[in-house]
Amino acid sequence: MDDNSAQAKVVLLGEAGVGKSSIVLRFVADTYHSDIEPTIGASFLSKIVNLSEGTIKFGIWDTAGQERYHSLARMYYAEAVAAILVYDITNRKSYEAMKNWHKELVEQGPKNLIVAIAGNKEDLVEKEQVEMEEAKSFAESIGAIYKKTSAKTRYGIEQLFKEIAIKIKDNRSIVTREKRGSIRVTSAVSQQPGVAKEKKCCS
Amino acid sequence: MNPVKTVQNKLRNSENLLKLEIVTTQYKGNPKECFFALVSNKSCPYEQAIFLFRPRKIFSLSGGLELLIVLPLTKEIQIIQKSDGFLFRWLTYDTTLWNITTNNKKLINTLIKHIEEVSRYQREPFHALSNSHKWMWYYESAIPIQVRSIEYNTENNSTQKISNVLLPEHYGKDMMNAYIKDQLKIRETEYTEIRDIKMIIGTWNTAGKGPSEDLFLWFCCQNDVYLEPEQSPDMIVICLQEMCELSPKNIVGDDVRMRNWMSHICNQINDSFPGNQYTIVGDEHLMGLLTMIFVKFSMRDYINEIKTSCVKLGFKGYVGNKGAICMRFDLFESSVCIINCHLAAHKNQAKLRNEQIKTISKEGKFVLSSKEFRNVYEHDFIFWAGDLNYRLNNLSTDSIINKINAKHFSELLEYDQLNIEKRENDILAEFHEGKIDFMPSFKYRIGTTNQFNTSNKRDPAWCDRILWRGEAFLMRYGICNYIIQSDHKPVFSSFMVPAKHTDPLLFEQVKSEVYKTVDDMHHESMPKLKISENFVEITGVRYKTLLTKVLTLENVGANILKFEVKHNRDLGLHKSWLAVEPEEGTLISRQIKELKLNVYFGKNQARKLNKNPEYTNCIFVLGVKGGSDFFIEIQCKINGSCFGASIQNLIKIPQPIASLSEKLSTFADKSTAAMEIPKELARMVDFLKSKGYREKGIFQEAGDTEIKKDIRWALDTGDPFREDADIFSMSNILLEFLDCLEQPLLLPDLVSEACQIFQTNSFPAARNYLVNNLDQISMKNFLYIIDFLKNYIDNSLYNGLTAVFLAKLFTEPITHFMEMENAGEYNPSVKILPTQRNQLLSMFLYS
Ligand SMILES: Nc1nc2c(ncn2[C@@H]2O[C@H](COP(=O)(O)OP(=O)(O)OP(=O)(O)O)[C@@H](O)[C@H]2O)c(=O)[nH]1
Ligand SMILES: [Mg+2]
Repeated sequence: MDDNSAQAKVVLLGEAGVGKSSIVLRFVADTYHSDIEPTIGASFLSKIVNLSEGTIKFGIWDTAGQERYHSLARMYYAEAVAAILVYDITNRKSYEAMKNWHKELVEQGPKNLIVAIAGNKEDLVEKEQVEMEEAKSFAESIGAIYKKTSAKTRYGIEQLFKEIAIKIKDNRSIVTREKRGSIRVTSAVSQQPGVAKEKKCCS
Repeated sequence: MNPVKTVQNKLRNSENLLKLEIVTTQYKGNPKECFFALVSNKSCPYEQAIFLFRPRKIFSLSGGLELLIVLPLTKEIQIIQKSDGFLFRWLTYDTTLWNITTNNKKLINTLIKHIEEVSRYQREPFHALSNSHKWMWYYESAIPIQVRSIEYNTENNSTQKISNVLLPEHYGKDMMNAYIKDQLKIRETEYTEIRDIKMIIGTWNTAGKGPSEDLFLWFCCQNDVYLEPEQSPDMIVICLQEMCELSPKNIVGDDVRMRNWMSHICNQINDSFPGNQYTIVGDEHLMGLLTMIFVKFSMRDYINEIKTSCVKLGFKGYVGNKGAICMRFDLFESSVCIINCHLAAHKNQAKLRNEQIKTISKEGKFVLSSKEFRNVYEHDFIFWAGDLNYRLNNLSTDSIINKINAKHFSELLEYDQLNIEKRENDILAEFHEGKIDFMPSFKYRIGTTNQFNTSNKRDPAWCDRILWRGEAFLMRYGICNYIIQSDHKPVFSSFMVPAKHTDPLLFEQVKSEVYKTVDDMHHESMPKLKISENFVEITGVRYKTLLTKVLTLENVGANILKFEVKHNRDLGLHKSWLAVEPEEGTLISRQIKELKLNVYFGKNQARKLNKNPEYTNCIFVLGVKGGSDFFIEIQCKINGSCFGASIQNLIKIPQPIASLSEKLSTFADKSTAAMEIPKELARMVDFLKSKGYREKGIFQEAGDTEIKKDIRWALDTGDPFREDADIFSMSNILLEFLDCLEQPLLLPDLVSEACQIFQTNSFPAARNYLVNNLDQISMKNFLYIIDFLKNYIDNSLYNGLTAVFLAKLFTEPITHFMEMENAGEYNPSVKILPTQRNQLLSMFLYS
């Protein structure tokens, strides 16, 4: 199947309550609920994004942030092309947890994984515990996309996914240039038993 | 030579070779090896086409490939399966069947499946102007004429059902793109505006003369007074032939004359439409051919990607003055191609002219700035103009002149070679031409408006023509008799070209709306599962007792759903005490199914329990195909048990283990009590002692499952054994107890060492070694069991038990030797055979 039509798997990782599900719901369905339930499992949602270079179909895995499900996240990032590491800008602990997620991805994640960092709950900026400069320079140091977002106000959500989409497209065109499609040819002739026998005689 | 490479070389970079199969087919009446290829365009992979290539020489691929046929894989293709391959044909072309011999059934299935899917989205029968497969026109000469016909059969159209429904499984697949493209096409009017572009196209063979005359009439499409001069057009395309004279000495052309013509025409155009400024956006010359494109100044930003391609029509090594200039450009978002050609002269050369037209359409190619290749057919509007040089057949000069004078043009046009070739040999078959209601353009006496020069057997003829393909509207078509410098009269045409102008913002908006409906459709159709609980607490779990908890699964979505337990044992959350039943299944919409959670703690699980307190928690993943995953957490409240515990802990606990509120090990750490022998072990031994040692079958017969279950429970609760508890069941439980111990009484490495000492030295030495090296508690318990077992040997006359037999039974439960060896927990440096171990134990029983 052609690369263009494949879904791009994106996984959201981050501490419980940072707003992973809220970000996904805002992006996919443009809705927001302040009484959203914690995720127990890994929700799958999809969305087509329109770029000037074509379209990209996201298959998004929204994982459970609670610590006891931590080790299960690997099932989802193992096959992802991009990971969004979410932290809550009003919660320093969630920022440290985000850094640990990055460490885990480096150690156990797939190669060439595109990483994006989302500092969520931007609308609560007056309660900010993590300065943007700090997060930004961390993102820069690991070559990650950085976006401040608010699932509540929509701030930065579209752009976050757009930037990821663009990076995926760029990576793909490199990959497809590297591996030219291989195709097998079967032939009515070469499958005839007679031909096979002849070959045997010669050997 | 690699067939894939060979075929790929025949394709463009923008195309994908999806499948290639060497097949046998009938070609010119004989079976021939052919390459059957399935090809798609990279930018729209769901538009696939069948390509059939024939190697010029079988298996000598260097001989090149001949492209026999190209067919779009649309619903018009009918595939008929046969035992040795398949037949295919084009619906409206049912006299020709292609018979393909192949044993690749997968290929046939792929074709059938694709056609089936395509049928969902195909809104109208395939034809030359279809929105789909535009890329395929690059191989126009290999597309059968029946396939390209513009006038598709409307009867067929109405009987075919158009479903156009996106199936859930198509999401994210090629078919989804087909659907999106189709939806965008349907809604085209919402984001595109049609700009009616008035375009004048003129063609004129100037016979190497001039420029000298005023050309106002030509540009204004005016011949007689009854024709109003055209109002200022948006575009003017001028096609000249023989704008300079070519001779064997001068085959390159005449730059000076060309420049003269260009400036003359440029000036004349601007003079013809006062108040308007025209600018030249494209010009190209090839020998005597000159093409110029003028647009109104205000329009110049809407003409883009102007590319030209020249085709020389040399004949047998002689470079003549014949050829074509193909010029293409984008007019707003529509594509236009203009062909200015000069074909072979003379009445008897109609066949050569046909070939030349084919050559032009094959060789006229453009490279766009996106590096994409285009041929002349891959355009929305194609205008074919020039001195095509077709003459009138089978008529005497006199009768031609008479009919012209009588203005019986349509009668004469019956004999027009181009009309005949169009009809009979598919030459420019898909092209339209306006009604010819004007004098032939050739051959006039120079300097006259309407006197034909019939010397040298030159009959009057409509040599100079303008044809088109695409949905343009012809407004005027005629000649200018009042321009007299050449033996040809200039021919003019005026078109209304409905160019599509896309509003980028509106387009984006419609696109996101279409995407949203697709997303919504997908989310709507996504499998939805409801699980009764995702946190399950199971209480009262006992050693070796199966407990089952039932969850209910309900398919609350609209479609069938498949679920499965995702095994991820490497992630360490799945535990072997849990078995989910069934592990996978299918639910139709609204169906409810039970999911059984079977919890069972056997020997291995019981041991782990004591090492890892988290062991009673488990999370498993229930995945729904194409949907979300659920995490289901199970917490077992397990009753404490002596099975799987260690002797060291057990001796510290005087109360019944099942009654403990804490973990066994925690409790033992705090306890100050210390017995010599665990009370559970003592209870079993005492029970057996009380029954005497004489009965036959002890340690051998299986015992009763229910009784055994109750014995285990009684050991843990401290309740008395049931009345009917028997020695067979009890003796089995004793073995089980030893076997389950977290640590064996005698560790394998001690056993190994003792065995070696026994072999090389003596039993007392081995015994001493064990006594010195084993901890007190284990030693006491070990000897306690040995002493107990000796009673049976003393009574062997009655029970038939021997030391060798008992040793064989007890060695493994006492040492866990084999178990630990198999599990890799013990790697002996010297191999100790089972018989050696049994021997050591039997020596204890003898002594
Ligand atoms: N003010 C504000 N609150 C937010 C924002 N995003 C999420 N929240 C709130 O934060 C809480 C947690 O959001 P969730 O989306 O459930 O967080 P999560 O990361 O998915 O949590 P888990 O599923 O448990 O891992 C909810 O009450 C949300 O309403 C935001 O941008 N601004
Ligand atoms: Mg969540």
